[in-house]
Amino acid sequence: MSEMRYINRDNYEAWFLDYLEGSLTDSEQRQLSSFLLNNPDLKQDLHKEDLVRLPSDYMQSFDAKQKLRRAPSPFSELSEYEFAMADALENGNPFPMERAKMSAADQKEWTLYKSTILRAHAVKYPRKKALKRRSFAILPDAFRVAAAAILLMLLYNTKDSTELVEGRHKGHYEPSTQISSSLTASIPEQTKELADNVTNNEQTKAVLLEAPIIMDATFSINEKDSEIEEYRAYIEPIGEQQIRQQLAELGQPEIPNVYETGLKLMMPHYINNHNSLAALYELPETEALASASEKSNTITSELLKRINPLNISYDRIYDEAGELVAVNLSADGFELSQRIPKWLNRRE
Amino acid sequence: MTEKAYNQCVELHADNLYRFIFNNIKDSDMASDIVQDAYEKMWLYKDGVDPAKAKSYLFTTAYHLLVDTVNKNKHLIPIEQQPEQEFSTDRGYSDLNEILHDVLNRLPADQKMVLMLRDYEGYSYQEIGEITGLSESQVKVYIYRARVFLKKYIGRLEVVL
Repeated sequence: MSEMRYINRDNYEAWFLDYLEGSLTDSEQRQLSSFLLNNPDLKQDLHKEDLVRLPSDYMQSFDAKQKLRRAPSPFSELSEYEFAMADALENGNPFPMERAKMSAADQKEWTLYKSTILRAHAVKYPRKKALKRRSFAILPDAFRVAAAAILLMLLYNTKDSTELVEGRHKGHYEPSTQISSSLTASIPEQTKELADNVTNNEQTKAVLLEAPIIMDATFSINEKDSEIEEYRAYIEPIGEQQIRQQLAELGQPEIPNVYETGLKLMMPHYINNHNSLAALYELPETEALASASEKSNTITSELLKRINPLNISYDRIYDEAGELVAVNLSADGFELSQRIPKWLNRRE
Repeated sequence: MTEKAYNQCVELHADNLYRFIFNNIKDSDMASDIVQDAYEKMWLYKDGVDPAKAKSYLFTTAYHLLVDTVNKNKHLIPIEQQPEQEFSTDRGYSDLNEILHDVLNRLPADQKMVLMLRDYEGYSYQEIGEITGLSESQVKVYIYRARVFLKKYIGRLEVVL
């Protein structure tokens, strides 16, 4: 009571309460005694208990205080009560408070909180197989080595024995057969001279010299002894002179030159194509081919047809007004059209 | 990470990852794509992925892809902006879990994701923090808020428990 106050009949109840609570100062108590002497009718009110004592219900503590207090930061959005419930749930505590203190309402709340734990549905990911990675089984080292060896052997054995070497004629190439040294070593000198006399062509000589040896080797590999004997029986009685005569009768063999043969085969096609192209430019201009672009179009189409094996043709498509509206590319197996945007299709 | 370990990861985690994504965006095709992208990324960087942390790696990748997807399709309204009547429903539910999953969609995306990581996958706050890039404290706040919201919602529905 910082300011001096005075008792009167309007505020005496507050003074009485303060008196009963013992909060009056000495001077205030003296003032109260003086007031009661002057107002004896009010003296009995001072001793009524119901003035100062509340019913027992009101004296109990407010049990929902926890619901009003805020939880500590950073959970201050929640009440202390909510925090306690959630915290107990998260930490796996059986109850957020002493069970004895939990009312029926608390029990229900706690049950609801426990129900908020999600139970996962069994879900199957439909494309699981597509996620898996598969690699080819890797062969052991031994298999790798074996595979490499086989590959090398195959490459070696299939090596082309024919190669092009520069011939006698400048700029011309002709095939030449490589004669293995093992075979040439076994060719008698007389046979070589004979072959030299018959022809100057190296390839022909090789054929003449090698034929019996190769046949002999082939037959021996095949173990066809009877055939070899038959061959020898035919060759041996003939004698050297007769072979010479027979070879002379055969005359100079003509071995075609590869380059020339190829050229001969290609030349008609080349000339034909050349003439066709020349003829295209000499075609008379018709109404349909009046414009240079249309002529070019036809030429392009013709060219495509002639030079490609797929028979691709190229056409331009015009509308009634003569505007180019699309281009068409077609072949035996497909057709492709591309519409021309109007902004692109402006005639000059 | 070997091919075998990777395939094992597919077996172990693909379903869970798909469920996590699908429950967030409710679109099977998009969920499927996200799962596929997450695994694709893991395969791409398989040499740097520790098989022991593969699950976390997958969920982290998928989470970020999911956030991108959610941001692109802003169909989730924050709970604070939802009208009060949204909290009531006439729909008949047969199962509390069904209700919860329905309510889950009303949660803000971040709360929903962390709660699912917590309940479905059993991740700790720290692990969820690593996956989502949130602080451990923030994860905890989201989870607590989500729990309180779910409790309030099912309480309002007066579900017979």
